[in-house]
Amino acid sequence: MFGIVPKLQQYVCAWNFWPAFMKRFFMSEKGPFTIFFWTPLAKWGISIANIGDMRKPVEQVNTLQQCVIAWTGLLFTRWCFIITPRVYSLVICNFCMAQTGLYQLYRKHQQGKLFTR
Amino acid sequence: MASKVSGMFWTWVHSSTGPKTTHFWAPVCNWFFPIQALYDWNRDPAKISKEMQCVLVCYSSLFMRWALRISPQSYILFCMHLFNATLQGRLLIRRLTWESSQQKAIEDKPTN
Repeated sequence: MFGIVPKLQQYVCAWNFWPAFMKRFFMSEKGPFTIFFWTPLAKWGISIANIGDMRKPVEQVNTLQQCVIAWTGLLFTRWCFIITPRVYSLVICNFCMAQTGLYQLYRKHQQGKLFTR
Repeated sequence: MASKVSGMFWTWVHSSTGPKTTHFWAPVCNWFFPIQALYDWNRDPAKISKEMQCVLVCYSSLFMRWALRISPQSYILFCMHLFNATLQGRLLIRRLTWESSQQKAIEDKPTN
C-alpha cells in the first residue's frame, strides 16, 4: 500500500550472506514478503489458540464461536479439495481447525454446558 | 421480464458455483464469524478468550489484504473480514478493559 514491504524485501535480499535458495525463497511470489505466506499461518493460529484454550475451564469456551470454527473448518476442508490447485497444506490446516472446534464442543457437552453461554 | 429473471435465477442455482455447491457455501459460512461476534455483543468479559480474539483480529486483518491481492479481487470477502476484525476487536477491547479494571480493583483494595 505504501510500498514499504517491497523496499524491505530489496533491503533484505541485498545482504550478501544469504544462500541462493534463501534469496529465491524471499523473492518468490508466495514468499514471506507477500500476504500469501502469512494467511495460512493465521489460520493455523486459530487452531493453536484453540489448543491453548483447552486447558481453560469450559465456562470460558464460547459455544457459538466453536460451532462456527468447526463448521467453517469442515466446509473449507471440502472446498480445498474441489478448487484448483489443490493445496493439501490448507486441507490439513482447515481440518485441524475443525477438529479443535469439535473437541471444545465435546468438552462442553461432557459437562452438560453445551447450551450455556 | 419476470421469466428472464426467473431463468437467470435457476441458471445460477444449477451452476457450478451456485448454492448446490461448496463453492457458494464456504464463503457464506465465513460470515458466521462476524454474526457470532454480533450475537456476543454483551458477552460477560470474564468468558471472552483473549488469545482467541487476538488471533481472530490478526486472521481477519491478513485476509482483508489477501482478498484484495487475489485475482479476481473479492470485495465481499474484504467486507466480511473488515466487519469481523472490527467486531472481534471490540470483544478483545472489552476483555482487556475488564482485566484492567479487575487489576485496578485489586490494587485499590485497602489492605488491613
